[in-house]
Amino acid sequence: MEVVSVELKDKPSIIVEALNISYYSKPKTIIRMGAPIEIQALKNISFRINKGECVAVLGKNGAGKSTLLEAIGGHIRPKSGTVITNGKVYTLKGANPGLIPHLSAKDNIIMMANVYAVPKDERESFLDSVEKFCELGNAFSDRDYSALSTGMAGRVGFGFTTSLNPQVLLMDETLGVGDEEFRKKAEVKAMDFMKKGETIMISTHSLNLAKKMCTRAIVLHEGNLVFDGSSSDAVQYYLEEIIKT
Amino acid sequence: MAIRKISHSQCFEGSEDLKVALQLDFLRAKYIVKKKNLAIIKSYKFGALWNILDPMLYSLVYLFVFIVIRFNTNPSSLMIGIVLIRGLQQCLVYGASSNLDFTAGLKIERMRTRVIVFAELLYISKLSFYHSIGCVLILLIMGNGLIVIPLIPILSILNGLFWYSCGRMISPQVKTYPDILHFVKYFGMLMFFGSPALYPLSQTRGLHRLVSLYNPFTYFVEPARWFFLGDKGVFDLIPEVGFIVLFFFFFTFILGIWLMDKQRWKWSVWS
Repeated sequence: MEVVSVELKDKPSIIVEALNISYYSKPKTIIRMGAPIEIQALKNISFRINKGECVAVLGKNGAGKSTLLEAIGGHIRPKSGTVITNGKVYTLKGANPGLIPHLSAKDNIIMMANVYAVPKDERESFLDSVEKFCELGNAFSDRDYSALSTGMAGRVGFGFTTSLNPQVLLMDETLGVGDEEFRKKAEVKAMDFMKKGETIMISTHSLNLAKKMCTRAIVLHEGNLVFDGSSSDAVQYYLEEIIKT
Repeated sequence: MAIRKISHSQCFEGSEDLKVALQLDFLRAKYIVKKKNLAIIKSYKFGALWNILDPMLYSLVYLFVFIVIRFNTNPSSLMIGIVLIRGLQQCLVYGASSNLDFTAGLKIERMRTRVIVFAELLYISKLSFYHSIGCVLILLIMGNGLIVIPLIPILSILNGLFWYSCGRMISPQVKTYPDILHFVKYFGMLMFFGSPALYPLSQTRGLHRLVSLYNPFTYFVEPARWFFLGDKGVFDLIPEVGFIVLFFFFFTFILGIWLMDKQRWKWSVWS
């Protein structure tokens, strides 16, 4: 522990070194015996992300974008290599960050604020900030979370997670669930985030979003990191080298 | 600031203040249990009351069947057996299938394994406690002392934890071969009849008695019947088997919890 803390003091938020990740499944034989089937999702990935950077992860479906974010979030086991993160890491995947479907958004937020250690004296303002971001009107407290549209649910998820003030925020196609208005609000929130010196990684298919929001982007292709640079160069590389081929 | 190092062998998480971290993890465990409960009771008018009503009514149905139809004269004895066998069936199946979800939907942040351990133990304890309420009421109605109020729930919780731990031992196999779960359920059904759940050991004969003597469940139910009802079946138990059950209880319990982190990490990349 000492070694890690000294190494990371005031340094990168995320360090990925020689990361290999494979998924496994049993053979599809009747008795499911024999060597497991291995699918290599990430191959020898290395990069560093500094505090306050907003980095887009680009790539086709199956390139390894979600796997990379899951690995950084600590949700899956690497085959080899290491991931070191400095600060609270929150992953926002899809619309629902784990809220209870048959409770209202408001009740969910009150319960989850407790679970995510929002101090008691700040809970009211926390709830207000989420409600203000969501702009759901009466639906925020009257309607079950499951009865909200995907876009509305996405607002709640995004509003809640970002209001928790993580030091590292990983977003996996989250901004795709909302309308234009939501995206604009989310972008503003993300900018505020970066101003505070927090780190964001966004996996997205939206190249405009990547260029607009992110200063840097990495491109994944078939599990390999094939480009790491400014977001505009990355988009160009992605369009010319990955999409065209 | 929390530093996390993720490698093949583990996901190591540093913590600034252990006391605060433990308190937060316990809150999270409580939330996971609450969420599980809410998922079960969501559409019912009586809501959380079904946690108590369901095992109580189930036990009363059996009580009716075996007192009225089978002329078993001791409802207290029967109730103890039914409550514990229900705990066996539910906790064994729950333990065997517990590799299927390690997050309970708290997806934003990786939960420490101890959150899952707290949540699992809390859930089993709660489930077993609810099971025991009907039995406590019946025993009180039948004139047993107030001692049943703390002791029956404690016994039910220990019984639940034991069978949950046994289930956890086979959960990796269930993950690989989900069909095994069906056999676990049938095993639970077999235990209903191949144990002294319905009749005390002192009333069993032949093969039923022989099987019961080597059945770990007997070593929970018979001491309880002796303690509360003065049933003499406990003196027929084999002490060596009792010690093995006791050893196995601690062994499976500790091993099950110890393995949880490793299993969780391993299964994160398996489908």
